[in-house]
Amino acid sequence: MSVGTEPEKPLLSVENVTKHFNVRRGAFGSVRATVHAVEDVTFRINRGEVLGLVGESGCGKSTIAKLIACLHNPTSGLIRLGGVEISSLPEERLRGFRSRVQMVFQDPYSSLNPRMTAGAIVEEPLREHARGSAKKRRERVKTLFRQVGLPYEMASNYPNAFSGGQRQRIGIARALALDPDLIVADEPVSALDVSVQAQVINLLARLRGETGAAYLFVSHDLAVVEHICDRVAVMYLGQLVEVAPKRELFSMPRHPYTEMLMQSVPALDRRRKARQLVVGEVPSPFNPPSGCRYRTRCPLAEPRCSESKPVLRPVGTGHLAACHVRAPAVQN
Amino acid sequence: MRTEPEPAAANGVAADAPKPLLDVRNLTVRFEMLRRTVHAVSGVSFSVREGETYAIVGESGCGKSVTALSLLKLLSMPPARITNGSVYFDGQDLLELSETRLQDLRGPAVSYVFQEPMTSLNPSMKIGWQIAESCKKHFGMNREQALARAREVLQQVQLPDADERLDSYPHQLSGGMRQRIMIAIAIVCSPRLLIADEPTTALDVTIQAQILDLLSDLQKRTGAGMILITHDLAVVAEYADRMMVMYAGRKVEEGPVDAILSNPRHPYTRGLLQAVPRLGSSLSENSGRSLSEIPGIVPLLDRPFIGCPFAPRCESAIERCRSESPPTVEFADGCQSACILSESMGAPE
Repeated sequence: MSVGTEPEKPLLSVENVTKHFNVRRGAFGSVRATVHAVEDVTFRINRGEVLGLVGESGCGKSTIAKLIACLHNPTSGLIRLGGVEISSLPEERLRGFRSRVQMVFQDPYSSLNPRMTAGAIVEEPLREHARGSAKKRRERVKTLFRQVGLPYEMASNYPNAFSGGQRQRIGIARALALDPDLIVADEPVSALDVSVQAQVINLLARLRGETGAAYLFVSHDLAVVEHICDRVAVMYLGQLVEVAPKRELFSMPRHPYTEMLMQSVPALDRRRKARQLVVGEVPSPFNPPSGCRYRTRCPLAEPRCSESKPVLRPVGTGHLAACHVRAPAVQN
Repeated sequence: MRTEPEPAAANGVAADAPKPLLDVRNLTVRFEMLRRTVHAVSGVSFSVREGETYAIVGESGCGKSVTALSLLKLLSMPPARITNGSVYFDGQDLLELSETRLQDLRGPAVSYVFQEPMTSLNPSMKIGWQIAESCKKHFGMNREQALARAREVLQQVQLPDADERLDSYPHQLSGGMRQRIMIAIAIVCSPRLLIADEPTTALDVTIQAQILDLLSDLQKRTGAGMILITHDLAVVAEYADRMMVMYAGRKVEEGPVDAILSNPRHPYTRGLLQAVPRLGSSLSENSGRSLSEIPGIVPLLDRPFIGCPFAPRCESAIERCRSESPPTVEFADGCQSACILSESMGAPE
């Protein structure tokens, strides 16, 4: 399966990656069940690009974020960073690669060590990766504080002295410290209030221009993703159902799940609308439906949808959808 | 400090409107801790009519949940203390009632749907009994009658396999199903006022749409009033009739939803509306523009304010904003705005 038509060599390519988690009876017991968290997912991120990954809770978007940050190993499939396969590297070689992919986490309260000062938190990756002398590191921390809009005088304060938005800025400064090629941001603004969320979104957009880093922006909020991303990938129950440049996706969603997701989002300029009835809930990832995983909720489902799994097929420029009905295989 | 001696008629209620179901006047709530006092709600007045959905909007810490919990004295007191105000429901002041009388009202008169369906249900009690419990207490039903009523309500909240669910425990259900159970518990005694405090914040958008549609349909069928507390202006736009915007424990703007969203007078409301990214933004000509920010952060509430609490973050603030309490300015379209600058604004043409 080929994804995208750009001849450019991607920064990151995720190729047919699958991740299963075994649920055991007790710590050493027999495998009781298997969660199919991510199933045969393929996509790429180009240099400097912001790719949005959207989906409902439990669809596997955070698992993908962790796979890319090498916090999980894939059950099968390859993850390449700059052409090098990182998913099977031994730990000592992986260390160097880790500095090139950094994470920003969702919860600014639990993702900062309460016993370290803000300055020490931002400096930690530099120390861990032995970048520069103590003096150089301090200079770098100063620059980072300025970049994320925090006064350096606050560097000696502990996280509890900062507001939620300020804490998220500390988390972002920490992710930027090693000048990574890719920042994996897992719901970075979901825990923030509207007025502060706008500040952090604008900060991320500005930093993107300043540092040239690529982002994987994981979010459940379609409007935020539309605002900040170049391309968007939609996940459902462990699989990618649609990938497209954002204008393309938001003007002409092709997968019925993407359509349903967009219709569910309440809108400011609309009274309660006659929306297509959103039916049912996401099935259990322990025992996903055969064929197309969305077929149990899909208004377009046909018999063939339960027989074979649809693959991502092009439906427009850089636009892929996995749907037997909307993106059928070309008949020869 | 500002007080609002408002008669009910001035409270956004037209003269021919039906008598409000709930009339809150000048509600003031403080949390008195060992070393500091938090002024959580300061002089908030509003009213809710039968069949109406009234939204309370604001960011975390603005006092919207404290306001809702104060209505039936559900705050733990101390540290909370309702220092001023009255809450008229059916002509009686709820704040004057004894705990026993309030218990009689919680359920049949006013009931709540809370945010966290995970933590608000009893994990060791079967669903059926959690729903039936209040019928037994309030209507003196026996076990069978109460469970039959629970089954009926489960069907109303459109939970599939109602019979089977009566015997389930909360951990066996998904988040969306648990929130339906919460709603079932809230409506089982047919309340006249339903208070939904961020009922869908913990849920995915597709489930959010289902739950809000359900609440709205149930309300239409029963004619109950509803207070919908949320931080999401889009939810308000779709589901509420009137709204109040709160900031730092105060009401800063109130009025019909359509009027406020199309013509916000208070700078904070305007700021909030502009700070939200909108779906479809990439298709408009403004694509690529950065979002408007409200600079700064929400103030601490541990001392009373002089002047307008929003003034330090407000781009239009003038000198008077920092020294004078903002007046409540009323407009012909039923809106109120607590802003000095609103005085010079008219109603929309």
